[in-house]
Amino acid sequence: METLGINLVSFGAQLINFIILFIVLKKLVFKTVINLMTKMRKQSKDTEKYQQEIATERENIVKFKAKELANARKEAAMLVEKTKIEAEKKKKMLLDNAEVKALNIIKEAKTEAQTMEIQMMKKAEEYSANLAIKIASRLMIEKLDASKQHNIINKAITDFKKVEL
Amino acid sequence: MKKFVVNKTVDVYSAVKMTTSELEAIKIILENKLKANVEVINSVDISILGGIKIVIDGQVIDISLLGKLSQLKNQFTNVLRSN
Repeated sequence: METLGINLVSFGAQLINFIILFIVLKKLVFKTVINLMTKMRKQSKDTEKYQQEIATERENIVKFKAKELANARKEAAMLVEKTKIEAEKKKKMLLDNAEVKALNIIKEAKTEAQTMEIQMMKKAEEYSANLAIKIASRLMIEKLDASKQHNIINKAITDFKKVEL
Repeated sequence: MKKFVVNKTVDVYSAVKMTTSELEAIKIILENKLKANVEVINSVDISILGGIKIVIDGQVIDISLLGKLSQLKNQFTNVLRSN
């Protein structure tokens, strides 16, 4: 050993130093480092698991969103269709009402026109009759002299005999 | 000369003044019909055109030309309405 240039005492001392250092390190540092590493490994695994969960959750959210969107579109389409049908119904109802009202107005107008026609006819008849009476009266006043008047009075007296009181 | 107990006054309207004989004739008819002594008051109303109109206690007996014309008018109006 000495030929190789190795001092045994120094080698022994260094070996002892190494062993002491190894023991000290093992006692104080290694455990802590291993614990730390284990903890970090666990954390890493947890993080990976968490990331996976987040990814899954994101995927679920995306799927849910897509489903909700599809539902919303479907509902919107249904709502539009329903609104269209309702609007058509209302339109039809309004048109029907308007038609009924128009028919009633026409009917009322016809009735009013007929009533007016009847009234006008009555007035015309009344006027014609009155006119005829007036003409006849004038003619009688002009044509009936005293002698004729007394003839008529005598005829009236004869007629009066037949009247029952 | 009074023949009946009851006395009545009757208005007779004519287009010309009635003669005494006409008034007497109508008086006799009225007395027979009413069984009463009748006083006839003759008034001239040219609007009746001819004939006579007798008013007894508010009851009107129209034998005038105007009355006949009115009847004619009513018949005329009824005929028009029925058509």
